[in-house]
Amino acid sequence: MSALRIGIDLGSTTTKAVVLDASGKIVATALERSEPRAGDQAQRMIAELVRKTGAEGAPVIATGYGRKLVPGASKVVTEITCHARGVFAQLGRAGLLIDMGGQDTKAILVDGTGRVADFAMNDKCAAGTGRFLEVILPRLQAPWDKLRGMYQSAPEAVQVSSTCTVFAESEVISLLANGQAVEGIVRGLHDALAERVVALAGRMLEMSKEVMLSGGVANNGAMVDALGARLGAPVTVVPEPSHVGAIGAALTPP
Amino acid sequence: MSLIRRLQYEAADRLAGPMLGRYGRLRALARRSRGKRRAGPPQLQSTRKLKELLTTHYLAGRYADGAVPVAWVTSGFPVEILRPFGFHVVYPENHAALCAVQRQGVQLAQVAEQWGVPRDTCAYARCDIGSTLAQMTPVGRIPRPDVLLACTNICQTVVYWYRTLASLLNVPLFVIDTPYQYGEPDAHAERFVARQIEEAIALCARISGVERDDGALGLVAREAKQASELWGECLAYAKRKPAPWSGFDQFIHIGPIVTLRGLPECTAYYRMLRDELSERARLGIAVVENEKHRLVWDNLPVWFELREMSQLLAREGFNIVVTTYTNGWAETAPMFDEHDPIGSAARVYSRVFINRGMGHRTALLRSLAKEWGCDGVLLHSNRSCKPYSVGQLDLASQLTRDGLRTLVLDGDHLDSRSYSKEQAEGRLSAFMESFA
Amino acid sequence: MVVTDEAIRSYLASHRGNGVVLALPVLYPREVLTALDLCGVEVWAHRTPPGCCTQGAGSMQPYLCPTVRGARVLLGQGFEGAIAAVIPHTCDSMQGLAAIGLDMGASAMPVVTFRHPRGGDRASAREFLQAELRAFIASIERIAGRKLTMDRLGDAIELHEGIDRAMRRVLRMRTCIALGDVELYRILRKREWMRASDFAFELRALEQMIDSAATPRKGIPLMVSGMVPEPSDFFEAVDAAGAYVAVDDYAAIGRRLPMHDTQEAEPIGRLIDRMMGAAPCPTRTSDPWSRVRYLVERARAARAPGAILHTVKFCEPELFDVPVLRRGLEEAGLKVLHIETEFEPQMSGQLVTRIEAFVEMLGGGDA
Repeated sequence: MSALRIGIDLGSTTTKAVVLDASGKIVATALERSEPRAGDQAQRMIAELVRKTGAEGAPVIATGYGRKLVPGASKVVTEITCHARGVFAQLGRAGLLIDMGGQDTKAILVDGTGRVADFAMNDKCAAGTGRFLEVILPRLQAPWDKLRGMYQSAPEAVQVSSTCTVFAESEVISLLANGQAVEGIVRGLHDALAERVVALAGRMLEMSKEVMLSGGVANNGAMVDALGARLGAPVTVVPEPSHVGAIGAALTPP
Repeated sequence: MSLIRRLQYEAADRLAGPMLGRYGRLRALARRSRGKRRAGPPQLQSTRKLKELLTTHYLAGRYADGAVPVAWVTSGFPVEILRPFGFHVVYPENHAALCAVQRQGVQLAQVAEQWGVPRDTCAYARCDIGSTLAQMTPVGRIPRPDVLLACTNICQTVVYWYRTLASLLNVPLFVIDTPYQYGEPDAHAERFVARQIEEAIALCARISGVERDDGALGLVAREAKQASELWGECLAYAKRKPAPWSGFDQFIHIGPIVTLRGLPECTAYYRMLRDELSERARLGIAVVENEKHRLVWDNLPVWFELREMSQLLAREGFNIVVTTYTNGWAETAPMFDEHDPIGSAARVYSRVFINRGMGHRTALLRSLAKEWGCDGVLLHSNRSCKPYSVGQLDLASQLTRDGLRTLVLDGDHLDSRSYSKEQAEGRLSAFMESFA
Repeated sequence: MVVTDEAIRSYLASHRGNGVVLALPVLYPREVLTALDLCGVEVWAHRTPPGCCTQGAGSMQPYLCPTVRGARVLLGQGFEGAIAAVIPHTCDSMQGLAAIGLDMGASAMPVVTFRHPRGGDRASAREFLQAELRAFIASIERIAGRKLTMDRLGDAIELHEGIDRAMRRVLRMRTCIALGDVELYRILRKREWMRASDFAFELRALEQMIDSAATPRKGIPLMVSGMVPEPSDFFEAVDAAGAYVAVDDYAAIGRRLPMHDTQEAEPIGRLIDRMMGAAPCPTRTSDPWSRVRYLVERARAARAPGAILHTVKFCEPELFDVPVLRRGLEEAGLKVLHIETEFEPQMSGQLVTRIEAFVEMLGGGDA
């Protein structure tokens, strides 16, 4: 029986898996774009990790959107609980975690023991999620890794007033047609997204000293800056931001 | 109420406000001399007086609490009953519209949203709740109320909105319920409204410590009737072809009839405006050059896009000459009867068009279109305002069958986040092209 | 037009009484329909054929609630041979729907309106309500072609009072009934479409299932407050997460029950008492803080550590109460989850996740 444990987070956009050792240290990670047959994909990813780390027989805890589809999972837990547990394992303190994924954005108030004290999640609308950027950025031909530079170099934000993804897209097209600078629009888009996140977090912001950011969007420096600017305080990017849910899953008692 | 506070209030009301208004006038002159004049005909002269009146009102408001009793009321509340008791009256709707025009509405609404008010609610309400929570307003300061007064004739939403404010401010709320009149006005509903007006008067007497004076109530009713009739005369000048002023102007000049109704300065203002419009009409001054088509507007304006929209229309020779919204303050107030101030107020406020059935609404739009010589109708489908917007799609089909060109335009009276400028302007342009 | 729910359809095939009346939520004098032996079928739009809510979008703006959008289609196309549609003044949108039905040729059946006073329980309000009830009775009499005697009305009220008592008992003893929430609510919600005498019979069967010696239900007791439990897989999600509904404050179910017995002898006065005395509801413009007090008391009695606010999308009356409810309930130590429904055929995975995470949170995060 291996002392290793496996957590897998089947997100709407990407699927993440980690292997932890008995002390909670990360032994291996994997990340793939989510496929339509989520169960098969999870099984394959787990098999590969097991082969790589020798984690035969290790318990598998599943979380995320497709959590109920993992064959042989010893436990299934929601990504809300897992994110709280994961971020607490990484940072060891209470705070407000903002997890920005492809289709969902979550605000989770984590207490001093790593438990969920309160949470909120966006409604059906994708306006406050990574999807918002995914739809609009191609219009600007702004590569992901250049966003932070563009955000910082913009002399001022071009206001993007629509929060609806479809409306915002047409707004951006017309801003470009009016000759607005791409940098300014990039800044405006991220500011609008930050506003949306703040609205989602609502009163939880008042209940926490520190805001932490995870999820795929945390790799986007422009978002980190925009959120920090809106909150008036720097935002902590959680290490391994994409894997927080999977780490929390692996730490869940099977 | 403290004496010093009272003196400050009076000084602001009588001296400082008018002076500031004049200062604004000077600034406007300076701007004009720098050559930044807007396109189109010169602004109405009365606009200066309008700014002075409203500036004075908001400035006096800063010193009102502690000096005189203060009430926050809905636009459809029988405000006349407050006048004899010396209340300073604040209109949260008017305030929200002002925030929207200055494009600060969304920012304030976001404060309310962060506090927990969901976004699928009226944006006026969110803006005012946000303003109260953050104690932020573009008018400097709003006096703390002694009482909140709401009337359901414009919507049921006001009850929720005012109740939230009442709970934040910890002041009492009194609601006058005007049951919706589906068909012909019904006596038992209007009797109910009259009884509630009596109850509200008793409450105001208690709060202000002033005794009820039926003679004074009659005089105020007469004043309100006069002002509303003058407002009606002003609106009627837009029947001239070409029209000397537009619906967009009316949205701005509606301020005093909403907020100062029943006061002599309100009546005086509309006398001045009427005279100016009469002069314009005599000289044949048109607000839109080459006026080609005339439109009716239904619903509240898209406040934050007022200028852009009016310019877009004017460029193509289109003019909005009448609106159901601005007409509302001329429609029922002539029913005021100084000899029966309470019974007549019950009728005036129950029969407001938005409190009446769709049959009335259809007839109203038809008659406005006919009397103002319009060939098209713009129906603003206002996401924030359900009572005004439900039924507009049926109205549009009916009016189309009548031979009018109609466009249902998606928008919001305050929340620019749920408004697509590109889409709206595209549809407006296509609509105008269809007249060719 | 047919209703999709097979149970309702087969019931209506043989139990139409003196005629079917389409009734829209929430509060209308159902006792009057009972007294005239009319079968009132209440529709929250979920019983309309698939696509109705979106079909309604052709003539109703998409930012109106799905109940109003769906009901618009039923009004236009007719509903199970209904002889009338009863549309109470629930909110601004419902009021608009009635106005369209009356004046814009949008209703295949006569529309009867009912206006509840919205300024609180004052003497003037009771007087208005009395006149409104009389006007309502006169309209229904005209359509049904029959006179209503006060004796019949008195009997009908008594029947409904008995139902209210039985429902309160069932909801209070909920943990001692060996039925899942899905099954229990399937029965309780028959009140919306059965004639009162038939529903009373169903309730009696349910009451007989109360077994106070039974081992109490396992799982986390929840309080739910909202309009209507739709889609019904909400209960499956709650159950799968390890919880159950211990306190019901749905406008369609528990919130309808008057809080006190009436002392009035005269039938109209009793109807007024029953309406004014129903549990606090924003559609009647009840004060949200009185709603908080009422809910906290009930949650404590049932030892529920959390509340789900289950609102209908675009429902302004409920949405404006959300911030106050959240604060009030949290101050009383309850955790609160707010979810919305648009009567979609199934709950989204996102909603299921939120419910599960909420129950995990209430369970102390040991999941």
